[in-house]
Order: sequence, then structure tokens, then C-alpha cells
Amino acid sequence: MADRGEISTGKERTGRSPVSTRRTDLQVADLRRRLEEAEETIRAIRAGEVDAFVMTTAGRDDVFALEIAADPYRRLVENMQQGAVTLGPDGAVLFCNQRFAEMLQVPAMEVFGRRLQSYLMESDWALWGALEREAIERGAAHGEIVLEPPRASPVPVHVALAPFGRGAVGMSVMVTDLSDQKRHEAVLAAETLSKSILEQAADAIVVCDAAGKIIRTSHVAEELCGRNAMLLPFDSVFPLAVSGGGPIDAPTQRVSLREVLEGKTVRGLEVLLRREDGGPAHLLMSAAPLKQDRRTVGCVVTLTDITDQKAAERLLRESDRKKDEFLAVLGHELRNALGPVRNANQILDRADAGEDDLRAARAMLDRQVTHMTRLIDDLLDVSRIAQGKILLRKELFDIGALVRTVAADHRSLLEAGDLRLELSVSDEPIWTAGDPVRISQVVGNLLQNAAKFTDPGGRVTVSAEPAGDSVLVEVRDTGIGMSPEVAASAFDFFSQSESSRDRSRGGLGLGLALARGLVELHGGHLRADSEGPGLGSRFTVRLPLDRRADATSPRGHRPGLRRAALRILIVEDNQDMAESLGILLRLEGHRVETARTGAAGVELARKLRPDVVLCDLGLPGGMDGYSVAARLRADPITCRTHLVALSGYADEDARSRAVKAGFDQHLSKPVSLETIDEVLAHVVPN
Amino acid sequence: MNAREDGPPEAPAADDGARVPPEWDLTLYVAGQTPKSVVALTNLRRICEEHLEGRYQIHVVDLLKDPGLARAHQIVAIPTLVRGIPQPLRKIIGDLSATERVLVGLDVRRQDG
Repeated sequence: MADRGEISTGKERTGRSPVSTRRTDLQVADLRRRLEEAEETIRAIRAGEVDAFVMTTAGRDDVFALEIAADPYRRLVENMQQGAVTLGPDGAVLFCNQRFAEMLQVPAMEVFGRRLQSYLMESDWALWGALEREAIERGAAHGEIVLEPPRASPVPVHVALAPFGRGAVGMSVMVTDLSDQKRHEAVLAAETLSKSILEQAADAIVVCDAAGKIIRTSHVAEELCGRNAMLLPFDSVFPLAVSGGGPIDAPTQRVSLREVLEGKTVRGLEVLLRREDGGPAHLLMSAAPLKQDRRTVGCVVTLTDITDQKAAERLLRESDRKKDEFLAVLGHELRNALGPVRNANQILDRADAGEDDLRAARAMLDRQVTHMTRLIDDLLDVSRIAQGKILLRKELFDIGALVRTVAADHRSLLEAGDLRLELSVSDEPIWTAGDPVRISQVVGNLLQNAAKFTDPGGRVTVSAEPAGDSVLVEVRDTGIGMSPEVAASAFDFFSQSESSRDRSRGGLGLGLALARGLVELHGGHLRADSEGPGLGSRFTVRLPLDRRADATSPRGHRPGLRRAALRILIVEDNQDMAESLGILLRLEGHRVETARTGAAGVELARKLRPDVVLCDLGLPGGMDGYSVAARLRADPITCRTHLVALSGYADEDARSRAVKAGFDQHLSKPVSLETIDEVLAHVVPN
Repeated sequence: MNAREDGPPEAPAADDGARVPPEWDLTLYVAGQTPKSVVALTNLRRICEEHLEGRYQIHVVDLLKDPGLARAHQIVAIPTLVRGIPQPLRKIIGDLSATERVLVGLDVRRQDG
């Protein structure tokens, strides 16, 4: 080995002659340098520090590398798909193969001598340090880190570290590029996630490419369009139109994805979809472009089916409108009834009115009051049926006789409308269990309905006949008939006001609804049939023929009205009411007294000992009708008096409460003279 | 094997972008990536970083790519390091694993004292 002097010197002067010495000096120095080089070369070769030579043959330079024993391994390492790196004790790269240099996208020469850490993401330095420590302590370590090439994107890699021996003596590192794998994993994860979102979404979700072609659909979207929509243009699979909030079958403007693909976002737009199978669907549409690197690569469309909500909304609005219309009709009907009442009243006041005029006015008053009473009774019945508060007083009765009676009662009404009434009821009794008052109401309502909707010259046919376990009561007319839609809704409350039927025929449109409610309370059915508009209608009541029903015995013939004079006390705070009723009863031949309060009534009753007390329930002065009844019942003098409650309430609750308080009977106001007559007819004078 | 024939300056000496000539201009002649070539380069980088930081420039010449470049400095054995600056020109043959000898050959020791 050469010593330092040989290498570092070369500037010493060895001769004296200025010129020749100088040349000689240079020659010597050059020789010396060559000698040193030669010595240095030999030293290096002997030391094994050289493994290639430049040979000059025939004026051409060639490089010959020594074939060393490790060559096959070197080739192996060079050809591996993994990066291979050897690190010195200080962490500097002693060697790396070509593959590793490629991962860093730098020449391999640039890597040698650099610390491997300088090619790692700074956030991974701590992890790298830990891996080195673990490799030294345990003989091996591996983990995932990210390479940071100086001039390219980061590369996720797996590293396996193996130290060369004990202590800090350097190590080999095998580096596996995970980019593809990571990309694959990411794609897979994204794919799985989006797939499950699409599968489970309750909405129709459609993903389109930049050309508007469908590339993904959710399960619901497939159902909505009813076919495999993949790779078809969105606009043709989902022909949407802006609904504009108008009626469902009046679309206004086509919806195209073009605007969305041009960057516009749509939120909660109401659109209509015409489905090939079935009616239009009402949808809520949201859409947004899909961006990648600020470029639109497609769009996502969400369609929520709101057809049902829309239909429900429409129904609600409709029933609200029906109710409004009904109230208007009700007001109209009441005012129509009040007009003649006012006129008749003025006629009665006039001294110059003739006997015929007075009679006509009285008939007018009677008709209009009857009409109004029925309107109000119907209204109350409707609300009672709706609340399930109607109580049937069931008994066994002959429905044939009942139909004949009701028909006879309506004959004059029908004939007034120039309608012919035909009866087809067998003479054999048809015993039926039910509330005859309510069944009469049903048949009456059907007859009134027929009268209302049949033009003059028409015919109304009523029949009653047993049919197996049932009895059928049929009311047929030759009237205006019904379309199937009208027939279907004929029994809805307030339906008349919106049907095609002529409003001029009057009424509240409650009759049929009431009739069906009452029939159903009896466990029966009421149906409407018509061959169509102008072809007449047929209403059929089917009631069960149940002779073993818990009915009371058939009602006997009513006793004829007796004209016995009774002592009657009227307790009523409404002076007009008390007075008019008093006059009527006196005209009937009774003795009548009136009291204005409960206390006065009780006192008068003890004094007069009346046969009948007609008592209002709502009385002023601290003692109401219930208390009056209780007091009279408790007093031996008046305990056997026939007590009749007069009340503004017509429901069962009021009735049963009155009976509980001690009343024999409960009559709802307004009370007709006929009703009172009938009540009085059954009272035996003391 | 695609080592650069003549690498660009790898460790610029200037700290503010001004073109200050490096105090050490070094050329390493290698033959592709023979083990000694790689070891020599590794050693050279380490020594320069430790002792000449910011004051040197390394060129790597791969004679496998162009053997004719050997003539300029009359290279015979590989690896060979040529010290161009400071003058005079001087060669250090081998893998540069004897750090002390390399430092003397580079004239680092003389400068240090």
C-alpha cells in the first residue's frame, strides 16, 4: 500500500539548472505521477477494489468487467419484480436494483449513498424507524409505507427488512409495489359500497355517463322503468316532464339531462313519468353532475315516487272541498225553507187575508218546518252514525206491511212530481228483526231519492220479497240513472253536491249515506245499480231474515187516539214555545198551566197534581229538568205523574240520562203536535 | 443499465443560486453497475457529504455506455475517481472504501491542516 507522501506530493524540486532542470523536473514529476498511478492501480487491483478494465485493442477501447462469483445472484436481483435495497449501518443505500429505481423514477446511480428515509413520506419516518428497530431486535420486520419519489406521485409499498447480522451492520429491504393492489382494493371497496347503496335505496337512483347513458341503476329504478335500462339513454328510458303542480295528466315541459350534464344541479323538482304499463308516476327529481378533476364525467339522478302522497293530497283537498260545498248547500237549503216561513207568517198577520190564503200559509209553514226538521234530523243522524251512537230498538216486524205504509206515505210526494208508484209486495207477512222506525227511514229516503232524480212521467217501483235467509227491498226508478263512478260514490256523505246530478233537485245529499249507514247497522247491505246515465237506477236493501233475533214480541195494533182531557203542566223557559204549545194543547181540549223555572214547576205540580208534565231540560234558576223530574218522582203527591222531557238534544245519551232522572219519555225538539198527541193518547188520567 | 454517461452536478455548491464554481470537481468512472462501481459511488457520496458538504460536484461516467470516454483521463481500471479541481489532476483507483486515503487523495487533509 502506498503511503501518503507518494500521493500527496509532486511539487518538490529536485534539480538546479533553470531551464533543463525545469524540464527535467516536469519529466520527473510526470514520471512520478505515472508511477504513482501505476502503483495505485496495482494496489487497488490487489486489494480487490477493481472489477473492470478498459482494454485498448487496435485503437479501440473496450470495457471488460470481471465475472465474479456473485454474478448469478446479481442477475437474479436485477430481474426481480420487487425492489431490492441494501442499506449500510447508517441507513444509506449501498445498492439497489433497477426495479427499485423504477419505483422512484430516478436512475439507480442517483440512489446510491442516499439515506432510504429521504425517499419516504415524512409521515412514515417514525414508522420506518420502528421497522428498522424491530428488524434489528427480532431479525426481521415488515410493514406498509409510502415511497415519495422526488419527481413523481407517491407509491404505496410493502417493505420486508432483514438485517445482515447482529447489531447495526446494515440490512436488506425487499420492496413490493402496492399501487395496483391498492387501486384495486379502493375500486372494489367503492364498488361494493355503491352497489349496496343502490340495492337498498328506497329511491330510484340512476347514474349516467357524460353522454347521458345509464351506467348504474338502483333496484327501485329498475322497477320504476320496468326494464333493463343499462347503457340506454336516460331521456328515453325516463321520459320525464315537469308537472308544474297541475293535474297529473297535464305535463307541461320535457325534462332533459342535458342541463345537468352541463353542470346544473336539480333539487326536488316535481316531474311526471309516463310508464308504458300503467298510469303516470308522480316523482320528485334531484340530479347533480359527477365531477372528476373539475370535468363532468356523468351525473347522478334520484327519483322519489310520490304518486301515493299526491293521490292522498288530492283526496284530502277533494273532501275538504266537498265539505265546503256541503256547508254552502246546507245554508242554501235552510234559507230556502226560511223564506216561505217568513212569508207565511206575514200572511197570517194580515187582517185582509182570506180563509184560503190563511190555510195555504199554514200548510206552507207546516211543510217548511217539516222539511227543516228532517234536514236537521238527517244531519244529527249522520253524525250519530259516524260516531256509532245510533241505538237500534229491535223488534220483530212485517217488513212487507212497513214498505206498503211508507210507500203510501210517499204516494202524494211522487204524484206531485207526476210519477207513477208501483208496489210489488206479497200479502204474506215477511217477519224481520230490526228497528222499524229506522227501516222506515231507509225506505223513505230511497223513495225520496227516486222522486228527486226521476223526471215527470216516470215510474217508481217498490218491491219487498224474501230471498233465502234475507229479505230484499228494492226501489227502482226510470230516472236519470248513474255512471259507474257516480254509483260507486252514491253513498258517500255529501256526494250529491259533486256528482253530475242536477243541483236544482235540492237536498243535502245525505239521504243515501244515511240509508246505507242504517242498513249496515242492521247487518245488511244497500247497493246501487244503474245501466248508465238516463237508464234509471235500482237500489237494493238486503236485510237478514233472522226470526230468532233478540226481538221483543210483535207490536200490537196501536190503540186509537183517545180524546180524554188531561191536566198538563208545561215547564219551559222559552215563553213562545210554552205559550204556543199551551194554546195547541188547550185547543185539543186539555187543561194547561205553564211554569218558567224548575222550582216554580215543582211547586205548581204539587198544587195542580197534573196528569202530565212536559218539562224542558235546560232551565234557568239553578234547577234543571233532571232535578225537576227527580224531585217530582220523590214526592208521593207527584210520583205517579207522567213525565215527558223536552230537549234540544236528540241523541241516545240525552235520552238515557232523562230516563235515569225519572222521565217516562224523551222527546227532541221541535216537537210536532202529532207526536205530543200520540204521547198523551197513552196517558191514563189520574 | 442506464447510468448517466456524464451526470449533471449532483450537489450544487452555491446556496443562493449564484454560479460559484465548486471547490472539488470529481469524476467517477464506472462500468455499469458492477459491485465495485456501486460501492465506489456509495462511498464517494458519503465521504463528500461528510467532509465537503456544499463544495463539490460529482460526474459519473459509465464506460460501458461509451468506452471511448476512457481516453480523456487514460482510465485503465474501474472504478477510478479523477480529481479535476483542485489542481493538479489526480486519480484514486478502487472502490474508495479506505476513507482516510481518499481524503488525502482529494487534498482534504492538507487543507484541513
